[in-house]
Amino acid sequence: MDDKFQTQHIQEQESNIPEGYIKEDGKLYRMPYKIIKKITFNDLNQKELIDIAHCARLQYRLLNLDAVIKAKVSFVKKQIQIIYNNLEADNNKAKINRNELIKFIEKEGLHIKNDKMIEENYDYYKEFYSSTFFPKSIRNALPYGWSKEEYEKIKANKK
Amino acid sequence: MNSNEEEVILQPYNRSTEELEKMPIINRTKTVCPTCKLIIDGIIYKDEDNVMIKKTCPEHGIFVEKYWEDYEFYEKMRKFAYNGRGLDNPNYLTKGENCPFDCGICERHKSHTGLANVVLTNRCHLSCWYCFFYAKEGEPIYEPGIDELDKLFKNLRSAKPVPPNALQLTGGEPTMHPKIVEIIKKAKEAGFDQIQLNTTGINLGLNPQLAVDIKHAGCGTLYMSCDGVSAKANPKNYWEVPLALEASRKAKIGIVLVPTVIRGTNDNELGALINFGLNNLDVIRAVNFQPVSLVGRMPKRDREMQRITIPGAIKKIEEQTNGLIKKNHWFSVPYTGGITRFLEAFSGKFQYSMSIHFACGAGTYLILDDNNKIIPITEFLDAEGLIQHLQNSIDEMEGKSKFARKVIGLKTAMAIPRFIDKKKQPKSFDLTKMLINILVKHDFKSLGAFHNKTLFLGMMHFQDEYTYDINRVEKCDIHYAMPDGEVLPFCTFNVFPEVYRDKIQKQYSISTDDWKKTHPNWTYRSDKYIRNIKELEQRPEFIKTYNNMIDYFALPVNTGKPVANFPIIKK
Repeated sequence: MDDKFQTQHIQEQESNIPEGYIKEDGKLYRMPYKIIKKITFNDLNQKELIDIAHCARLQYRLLNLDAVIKAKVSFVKKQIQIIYNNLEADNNKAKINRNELIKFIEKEGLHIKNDKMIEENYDYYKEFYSSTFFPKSIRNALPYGWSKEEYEKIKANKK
Repeated sequence: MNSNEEEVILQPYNRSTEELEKMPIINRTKTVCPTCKLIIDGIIYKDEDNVMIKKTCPEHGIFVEKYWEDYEFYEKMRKFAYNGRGLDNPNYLTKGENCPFDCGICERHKSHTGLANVVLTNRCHLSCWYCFFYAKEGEPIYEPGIDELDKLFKNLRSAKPVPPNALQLTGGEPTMHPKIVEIIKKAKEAGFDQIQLNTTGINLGLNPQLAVDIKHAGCGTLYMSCDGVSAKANPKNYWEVPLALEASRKAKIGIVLVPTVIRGTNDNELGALINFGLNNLDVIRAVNFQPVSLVGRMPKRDREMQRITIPGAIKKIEEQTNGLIKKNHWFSVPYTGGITRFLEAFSGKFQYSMSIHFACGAGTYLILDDNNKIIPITEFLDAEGLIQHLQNSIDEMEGKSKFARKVIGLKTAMAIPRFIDKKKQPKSFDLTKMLINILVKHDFKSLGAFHNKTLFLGMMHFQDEYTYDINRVEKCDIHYAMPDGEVLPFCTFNVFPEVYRDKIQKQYSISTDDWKKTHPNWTYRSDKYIRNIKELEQRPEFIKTYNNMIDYFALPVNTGKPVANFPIIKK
């Protein structure tokens, strides 16, 4: 068992957090996954990926698997990245192992290069859940009909 | 409808490949193969009066589907189409190149959340044959707790630059959540101005105190399913609608009737539904027709027989109301963008904007004047002219100082009476004053008074895999907040439930065995509503609602002819 997870597991038991939940600010929230896996298949053959449309379809097919939480198939990056619920994960949701995933992808006509594959632990709460609930700003929109300079002036005048 | 007309409507659509190649192309888009979900090109083309969508999957062949049943109307509706603005802080960071399978909501999306939807439970007391939203026996139960829902509300309200101010609580049946009142309070505290409940109305009708409680908590509107004014068209809640109306009257909650329109099933009662709304104008604010989305696999012929699009439903309404509510009385939702963009250009403040695709929805208002005359708003308001006038002012404001914009804005507002025919406007109505209040003073309170005297008629056509147009999905502003923090547009959430709605809810669900441990008296059957029709038909609310209806359309001041399928109740 992963050390980080072991510590977390003990802390939960001691604080009486029910199985499948986390505590934030004293409140309980359902958390179906804790430490699961992220696997990245790199340097895939673009001829086998075919095009963006086929990548999107493969992504759909991967997402259709209950044990796959998120999938990203990128034609441009020649890469497939999958966040999945591995057999060893501590939860009662549907699971899959790495070899089943590889077989699934190979059935779609893709060859996986084992030496280009990276698998790592994935903290569902910290890396996924927290980012969707606290998303970063990536741009600053302007009100319709105003340029950036004009809008900056309005904001400055307000101060 | 005579048998010849029926024969024409029901003719299968059969065009050869050569004929399809020659059809004039109106637009190109991306869509999905309904069978394998490959992203493929979609061609929107004109075939006589119809607008169709054609797509070819290299593995599964050609699919052709009716997109919009009136070409001339399509061209009118797309006149003021515009791209809205998405989220500055999208919940799922991705460029969206695999749209619609990259959703969560991504950077590419072109509308902020206009109406937020939150699912309170997948339990329902009905088992409608066409519904996919409720848990079947043995399936896991999805029912978040108050703290979890509060987190979703706050997540929605933290959207930038414009957070949603309208929230719809849905299900299953949301009134089955034991904490429904507290949930509404939490939503109000999170900052939502308008809170709606998407409900069958049955629980509220049978328990009027609940209607009072949810009103006090902050719910202002019931978004109530109602498929017709007869038991045949509306077996879902025909007997309980009168009870829900009475409960809403006492609680002072407005109701939006929501019929799902299916050709050959209830499309003969659209005019009668509008008449029903007019008969209950004290409590019914709107009738929002939803032409059916054919989600799931369905043979082509069955789709042709059931498919009806927005202009098809509008045409039925015109026929059934004897021409009183005409096609040209309707406008597309992006028309309202002219007003919101004017306000932004004038004030420099972000405005709530409904930038959805023009093919997704339509609307109009009916005013019932003191003489019971029914007047569609566009009889006295030149909507197109007004929006063009506002757009001209926006162009004039570009690059000008704030002071100069104010001058232009005032000049614009003073010209509003040009677009209102005072002779046709109801005497008790002052649309000029209302529009000036909104445009110059940014005072939206008068909208409340406006809604009290009018019946809004809406059309909302959600997509399915056959009509799927990714350009439309990108602009959707009806978004679902998911328990994993993602936000999903309606036509992604519901058209691909296997990778969105059902998948994510299942992750956050509890098995029925675990549910029973915390709910020891619960059984699946105990959730189900069983009605006593005889008893309901004898209730005074039922008799009053259905027996005492006026046919407004038959009055001499209107068309003098009865609305089609005005319900006759056996006494």
